[in-house]
Amino acid sequence: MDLLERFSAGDLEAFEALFRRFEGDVYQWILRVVRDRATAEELTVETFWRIYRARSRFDPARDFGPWCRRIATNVALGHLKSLRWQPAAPAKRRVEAPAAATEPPRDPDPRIEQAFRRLPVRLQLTATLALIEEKPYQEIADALGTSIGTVKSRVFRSIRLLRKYLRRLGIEP
Amino acid sequence: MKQTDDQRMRDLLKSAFPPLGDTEPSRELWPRVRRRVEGASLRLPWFDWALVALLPAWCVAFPKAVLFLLYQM
Repeated sequence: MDLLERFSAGDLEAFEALFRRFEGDVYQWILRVVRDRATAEELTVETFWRIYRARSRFDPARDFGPWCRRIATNVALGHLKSLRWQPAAPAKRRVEAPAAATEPPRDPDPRIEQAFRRLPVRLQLTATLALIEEKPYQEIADALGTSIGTVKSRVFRSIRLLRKYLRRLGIEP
Repeated sequence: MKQTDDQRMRDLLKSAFPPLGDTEPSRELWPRVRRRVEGASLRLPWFDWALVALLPAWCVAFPKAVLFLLYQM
């Protein structure tokens, strides 16, 4: 019996082997969406917990990676939705940019983040992956379980809305 | 023109959300995942608890049902 079949049957050792193999990918993916290290760790644990719970629905003939990433995306999306209902907290310290960056660090305009956070969560998620992280549309579509056309349309709508919000905040994009 | 506008938006967003680089979790996450998995396997689902609670009530309401229950066991 191969690893995926053992996982699907509930073998904890097989699950641990898969965790070790995909933990980095899941953590990186979630971190790109939520942009906070501690939250990304929490959500990575939550993702693998959901993966384990859904093991009987997993078809061992399919790839584990995309399935795993889709669950991670849903968990991150759920987190973004939960933030909508919380009062605005002071901005957390963000993950530092790598030391190799050539330009000197500038203080980002908080109004840009403010405008971005006003986007509906699905648009926010798509815009993060497409515009900030510059992930290929196909990869985003797979993670969201949707089509490339939908991703393109969401990116278009995000840009249009962002432009509107930024203008209201006095920034001419 | 549209592409230039889109690129300007990308640059603006990137200035507000600087690149993250390749980072790893600051601590080992497997023990936490394992605790959740093991904790959940010890926990009974709510439906099982509801059945356990219903059983004595059913036996009191229909005493003859006890014989049926014993027969089924």
